[in-house]
Amino acid sequence: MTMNFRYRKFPVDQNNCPFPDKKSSLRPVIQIDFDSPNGGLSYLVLIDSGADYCLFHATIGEQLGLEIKKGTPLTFYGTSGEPQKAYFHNITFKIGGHEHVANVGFSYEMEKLAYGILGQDGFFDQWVVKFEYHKENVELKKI
Amino acid sequence: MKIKTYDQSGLGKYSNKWLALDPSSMKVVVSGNKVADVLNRAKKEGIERPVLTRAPKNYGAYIL
Repeated sequence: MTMNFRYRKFPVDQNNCPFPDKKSSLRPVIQIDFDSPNGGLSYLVLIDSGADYCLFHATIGEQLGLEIKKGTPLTFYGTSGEPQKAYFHNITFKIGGHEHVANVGFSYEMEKLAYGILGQDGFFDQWVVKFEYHKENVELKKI
Repeated sequence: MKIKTYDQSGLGKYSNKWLALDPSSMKVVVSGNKVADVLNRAKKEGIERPVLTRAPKNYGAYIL
């Protein structure tokens, strides 16, 4: 099974950008869908080959009915080198209408990030991912 | 199958908020500080399954 998703354009801060003509950033951000006790919701996530794990905002997990801090804890590090905490839960969501099960970390320390992150364990281990920036397309093929 | 490209560069006018987007147009329906509040208000606006995302304080560059 193969699916294609378009890259999405997101804002750049014109006051903090080394490229004066750059108006937006193209990113491989896709929509995932949850069925939850509180009703359905969708969420934007960045396909990030540099991330070891999948990480979502803890407040999204709360909305799904999870008791976040009862999950398996992880201390992780971003480029700042500061330690951050996530709690892992096994959850189900849909990608392009197809059910996907993954162990996902939920963190209260992601407020500076716009999206959840799909990383190596929990995403790249289940899909062959073809990034085609020049076509603004990302292709996912189920393993 | 034709796939839509979403230009969401307009989200830069929001800062430090949760946003609920209409899944068809990807336009912002409501914004607020709490996920639950944004979700409930979007559903009251008739959006059955809103798409949630965050507008960070500074919509800057990502090096993850």
